[in-house]
Amino acid sequence: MDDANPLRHGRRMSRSPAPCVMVIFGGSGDLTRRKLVPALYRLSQTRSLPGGFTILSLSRTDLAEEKYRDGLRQTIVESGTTPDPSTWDTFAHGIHYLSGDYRLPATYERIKQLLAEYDLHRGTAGNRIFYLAASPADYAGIIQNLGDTNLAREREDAPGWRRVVVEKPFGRDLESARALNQVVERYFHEDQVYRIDHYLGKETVQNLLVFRFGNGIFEPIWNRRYVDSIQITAAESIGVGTRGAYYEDAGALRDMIQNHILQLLTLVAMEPPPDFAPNSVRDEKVKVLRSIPPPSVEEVEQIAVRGQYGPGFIMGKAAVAYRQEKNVSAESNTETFAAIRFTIDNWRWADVPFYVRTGKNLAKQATEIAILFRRTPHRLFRQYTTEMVSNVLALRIQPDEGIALKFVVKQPGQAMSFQPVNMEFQYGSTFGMHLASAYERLLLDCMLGDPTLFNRADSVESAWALVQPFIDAWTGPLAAPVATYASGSWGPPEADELLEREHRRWRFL
Amino acid sequence: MTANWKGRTVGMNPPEPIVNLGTPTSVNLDAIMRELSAFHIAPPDRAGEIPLIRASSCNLILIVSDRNEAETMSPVLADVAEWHPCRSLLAFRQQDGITGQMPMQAWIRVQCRPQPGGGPQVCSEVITLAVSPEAAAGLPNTLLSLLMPDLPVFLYWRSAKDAGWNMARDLARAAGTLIVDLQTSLRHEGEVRSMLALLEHLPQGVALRDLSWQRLTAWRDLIAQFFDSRTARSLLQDLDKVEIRASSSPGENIPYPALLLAGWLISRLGWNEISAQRKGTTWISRRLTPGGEVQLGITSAESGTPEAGVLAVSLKTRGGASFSVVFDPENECMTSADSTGEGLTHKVPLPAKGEAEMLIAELSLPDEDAVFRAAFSAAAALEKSFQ
Repeated sequence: MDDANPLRHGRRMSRSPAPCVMVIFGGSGDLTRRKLVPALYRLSQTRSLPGGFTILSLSRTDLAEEKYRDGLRQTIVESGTTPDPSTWDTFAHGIHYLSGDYRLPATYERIKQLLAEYDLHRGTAGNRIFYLAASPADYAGIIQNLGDTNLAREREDAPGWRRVVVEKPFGRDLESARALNQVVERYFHEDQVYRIDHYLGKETVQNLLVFRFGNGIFEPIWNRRYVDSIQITAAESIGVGTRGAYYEDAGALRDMIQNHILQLLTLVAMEPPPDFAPNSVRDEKVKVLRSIPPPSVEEVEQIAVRGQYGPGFIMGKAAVAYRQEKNVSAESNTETFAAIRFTIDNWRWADVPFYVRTGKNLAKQATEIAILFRRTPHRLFRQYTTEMVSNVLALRIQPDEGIALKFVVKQPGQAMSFQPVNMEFQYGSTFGMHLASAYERLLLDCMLGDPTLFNRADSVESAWALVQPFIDAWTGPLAAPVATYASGSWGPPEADELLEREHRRWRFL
Repeated sequence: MTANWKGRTVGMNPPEPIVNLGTPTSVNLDAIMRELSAFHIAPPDRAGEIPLIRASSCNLILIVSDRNEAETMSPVLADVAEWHPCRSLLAFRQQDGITGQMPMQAWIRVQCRPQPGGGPQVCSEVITLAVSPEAAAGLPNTLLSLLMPDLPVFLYWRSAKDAGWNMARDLARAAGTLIVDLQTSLRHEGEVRSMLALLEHLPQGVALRDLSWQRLTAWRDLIAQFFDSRTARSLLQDLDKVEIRASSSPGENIPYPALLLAGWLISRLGWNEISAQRKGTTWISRRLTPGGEVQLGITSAESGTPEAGVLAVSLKTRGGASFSVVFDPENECMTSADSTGEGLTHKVPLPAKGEAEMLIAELSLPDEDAVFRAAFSAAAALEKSFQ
């Protein structure tokens, strides 16, 4: 009998890890309540978590354990799922709450004692995940304390594995990201570290790899010979809401481009990996980031546009300006919109511009990657039409997850008239099933020890290195004031000009 | 008559065949295709009607026993099409109402599903064929000629019976995938034995699926979960008693779901037969394991819900560790208990799955399930050992 569980074979079986404890720093925070615990509860309902799975939530807030559990249950109810009383009880039985100061070694000694108890009574066998969902400012201190109290290292003489999940933002610039990586690497091996970007857990993002490398017909045309340009859009139709304080310090560049958008870009542009092993995929993604030449601070103005939303109307509702949002400075210069033209200096993508844009309070919510193909080399139908449209392959990430291919057909009739049509694939129509949330997927991957969809240290640093010139240009003493755009629009006019200079246009979404 | 689909009137399903032709053994395929095309080219002309998209991801052939059963399958097919837009071919024999002039009659129905948030409706087709007994021999070829080309074909032999075996086998050879539901279709004495023997000898290249196997997935998940940790895994070799309790089967049949679950344990853990005997409503097989011997028992239990299938499983080791999974039909949940820790119990929901939901899952799987096939073979061998 080999080491694998022989009863786990077969494609219908749930993926289920060995019993483990998830220690969540930031246990009373929004992320834990709204994302992590509901995802874990759904995993337990689908038999993906073992009976011994245990949560130890930590926070500075003084709370009775029962009250904490009730609060979590209430959040799940608010998310639209009413937990079944009997199944909730056995799940909740494994949820524990500890109030403590992350800065004090005594807190970690108490954690150690509790973990030993869970090993004994819940069969968690030394398997731990430390989930950093606290304030990013606390990350380095928590990691250092975990290391100093011997909670981080895996030891041959002690059973079980130790993993750490680090929520974004991983640093706030290149320097701080490097510093955080140094602290992490002092106490954890890279294969114990799971830097999470929930975008990578989305079903449609994972499908990008399958679409590109599981179909024979696309890869031959996935290069500069056939592709004119690529557009990546992540538009939100909502403002910063209650996250004003966080957003003031982050902005669109740090909040979206350094992580989500660059991750999407790497998946579109990467070379086929030799296999689907975690590091093979991650190696190819890093190569893409390293192939993008970072601009000088002076060049930033030529290839990037930033904006901040002013007042306006979104779907008929009045929206306030960013500077009028709660916890936002009335003189804020933070960008809520960014559009950038990247290029990739390699054989496949030379001279193909990658236009990316993201923003808040835009006309609608839409995240998509569009591959715009070159026009036909010979204008066979020039006497009938002045311009033939380009073929476009649109990969919609959200909402209406799916893929559309635009091509031109002849309209029926005696005249030679052309019309672009879309051939559509929609996840909802084809599979109709509930798509697991990104957190369900990623939490389970972490418990099973699969880091494929998590970021490696070099990837995070490469991404920061790429956006650092934009940070410097937009926050330096010579930074021009941020342009304003009306809420409900598609961003400042300068973003349109960025493409118009090259005789292109943003896709109308 | 029109077919209602999610409250919308979208298609036609006349009580009288809309396409029937007088040729002795076949319907006119061109006429059927014309009828379908006409529907899609000219959608119902009503104000505000949402445009239609014709879609197919597979073919599904259903063989049912009579018109009543065909009618009960109508909503099932509608649900299946919601997830897998497909062309469904529904065939049954009909003694009455089919004259020698029309030995095969066809009904066509197009069912459309509005998409959330608007957009075109996705439509798929159901072609129902009623066949006179004299024309039954021509049914397989007729069905095959009605398939959408270049798409996977699934044959659902709903009422698996010895009598229909030849036709099912021939169709399965062409389809590539045969789906049965032995838990519900084996109703009479001796049927388990004879059907297992027949299905064991399916033509080469035919993937066998059984909805009963799908019902066991939750059981297999929870049993496997006991042994996911490395320390618990060593206990697999130490098992000395396994008991499976299942709701009683019609006649004197051994409860098939329990047999299949036992087949899974035998095939996955490599247990070889030592002896087998039956004691009333209990079947006991002694097996040689890598760590010693195990007694594998199957008990047929009276239960309020005869279709419940497996009711409880317990596994015990020589060292005294025990694991159990028990189904609570009232609350539709399962409780797993593990004596190795502090007596941990874990409850997960196990809502009853409808036929459509199970078919949808089968149509999502692309090919043979090797673990099932091995479990099925082991179950067939185990059943034989009790002869």
